[in-house]
Amino acid sequence: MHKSFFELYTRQPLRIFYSDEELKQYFPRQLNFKKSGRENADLVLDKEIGETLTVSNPQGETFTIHGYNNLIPFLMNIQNSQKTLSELDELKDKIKKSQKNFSKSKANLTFLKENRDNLQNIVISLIQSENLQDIPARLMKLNVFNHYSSFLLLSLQKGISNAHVYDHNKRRRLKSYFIKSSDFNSIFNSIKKSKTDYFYEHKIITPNLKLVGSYLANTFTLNTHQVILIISRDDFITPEENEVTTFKEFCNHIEKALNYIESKNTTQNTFLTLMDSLKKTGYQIEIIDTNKKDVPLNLQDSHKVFLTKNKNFKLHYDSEGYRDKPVDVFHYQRIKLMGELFNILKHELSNPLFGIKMALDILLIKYSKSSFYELFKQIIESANRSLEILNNMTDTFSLQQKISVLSIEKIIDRTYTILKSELRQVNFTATIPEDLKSIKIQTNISVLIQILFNLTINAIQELKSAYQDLKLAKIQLSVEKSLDGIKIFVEDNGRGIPATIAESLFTPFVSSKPQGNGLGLAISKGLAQKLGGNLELTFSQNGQTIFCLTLPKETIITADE
Amino acid sequence: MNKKILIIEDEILIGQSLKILFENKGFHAILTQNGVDGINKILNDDFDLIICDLMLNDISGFDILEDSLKKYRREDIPRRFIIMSAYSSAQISERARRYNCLFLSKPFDNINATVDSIIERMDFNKQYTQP
Repeated sequence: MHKSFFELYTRQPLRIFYSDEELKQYFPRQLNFKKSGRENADLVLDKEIGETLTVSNPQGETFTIHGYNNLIPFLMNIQNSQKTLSELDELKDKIKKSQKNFSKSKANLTFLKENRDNLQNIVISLIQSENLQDIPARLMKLNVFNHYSSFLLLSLQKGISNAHVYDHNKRRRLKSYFIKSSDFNSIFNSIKKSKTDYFYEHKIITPNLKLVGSYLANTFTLNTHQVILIISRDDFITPEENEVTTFKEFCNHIEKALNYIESKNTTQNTFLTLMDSLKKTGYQIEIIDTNKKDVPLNLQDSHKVFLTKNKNFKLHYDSEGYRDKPVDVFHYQRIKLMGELFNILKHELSNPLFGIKMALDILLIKYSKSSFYELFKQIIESANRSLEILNNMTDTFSLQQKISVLSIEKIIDRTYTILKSELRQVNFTATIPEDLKSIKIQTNISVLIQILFNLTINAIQELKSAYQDLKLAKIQLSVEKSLDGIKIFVEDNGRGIPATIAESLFTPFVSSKPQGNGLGLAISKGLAQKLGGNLELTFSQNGQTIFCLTLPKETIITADE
Repeated sequence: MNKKILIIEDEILIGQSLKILFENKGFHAILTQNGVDGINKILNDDFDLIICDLMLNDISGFDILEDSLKKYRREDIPRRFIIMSAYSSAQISERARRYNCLFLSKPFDNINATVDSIIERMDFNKQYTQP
């Protein structure tokens, strides 16, 4: 009864013996054998071997296997059971010699028995993919999967409501479609939680997914994507155990490759993020992706090119773009430098000043009844004032983002302290209504003082060039409560701001002063906005200029609180 | 016999003032402006208390503390030494804290109170060292 495979191929009827169990293995859904009591059932292969094969059992039931890809493993497994054809080697030989169709069956054997060492090479070939959607096509070309016909890759990016399906099939072109992320998740979870490693179509819940029969599947969790990989022969034959283990092993290996491919995809994003953060530095920087050769590198003398560690990117720094730097950067640099200088001064001066104070304290006790007592007291006061100025200076020019509470009176006092030498001879008055004296401001006090400092020093500079006799020069600070907060006015009696300049007064590099860099007001406005307020020019004509700094009412703490 | 105090401070007016203040309270105070000299004095003489500035011209107060370990056990250091500094950065405070010493940051708000607290600590140490 044992016929050769050759005969089978040449369309001769063939009778093979199976056990019921074996048949169940290949036709699990179609076969519902009643135990016949016999050890073996015989199936007759009575149709031509091509795309389909129909087999029948003695009870007259017939079963059809579709596709030569399925037939070969089906028959090979029967060979392996050695209950029918025993000449396995002979069969292999014959398969090798037979027509092209059968070359695919070699692949099956390779997949099952010989390919373990090739995994590393597969990974290497996979990482050449540009993106995840290339994976199915690449898998399809691999010898190890020759007898598989469907290759699906489902990917869901975190936070996206639709999942991509890239569906490759040997018999047709790539199909790419979407499924709902909820469908994706249920497939993902059922695969992940499954105790077996192979699946049947009924496991797939979504009707949109085109899958036939049994398949091997695996899930991957990458950085920003969840991925499901499915390969199928589009048949109902249960995958072999070593097929399953090989697939699992394969999946373990390609996880790294998938991660790598995903990161390739996000390079573009990295690029944009890099651009974004560089823009924030205030430098006009052009980033040239040297991979794209069509981008010209027109570098002039004023340009510098920074090569990053990643040779794919060049940072192209345009020094002409300097003027577009946000004023914050200048401010930051200025304050940083001032802060450093004042810190050095503070450290160098506060120790000897403290020594003077200490020594005088002792002298004061000793000479409490002497005529020098008043003099000593005055020296102590001077030392104290010097220490205070130092502290004010360092506080004002510190970059710390400290929020503190201080009365409006003290704030103006501090501003005055650090401007005292500049204000010499100028008629400076600060008017705070009685009911506002108790008001406290909760904000970044050092920033607030910086704004008042800038406004006042601007006024002083204007007055110094406007008046020969500074006794006529006046600066007035006044405070007013309004509905939306508190207003601090800085008023001077200078020549006013020309209308042409007034419009763009807060724009960086616009200045009415020949020596001015045009940053003071731009910086101050930026700072005021940082405090939640604003800075405006309320009035300007020859003889009167008023700036108004507004602070939001949230910063006000009244005495009752 | 009077208690002996060593003051190591290179800012002359601070050192002198402390010396006078302690002398007025009846202590025998010795002042040095030089760190190396301070170490020599510590190793060759016996002091009940050593007040040491951290930022000296030649060496740092931490060097003095480390060298003093030749003479004193580490656990005796807190009882013997008081550290002063105008630079109370987090790192320096942290490092000073490791020696477990009283740490005074300059300028002191109230000089007399500071001196009194030092004397109090010495009294405490006296009780502490008695069996």
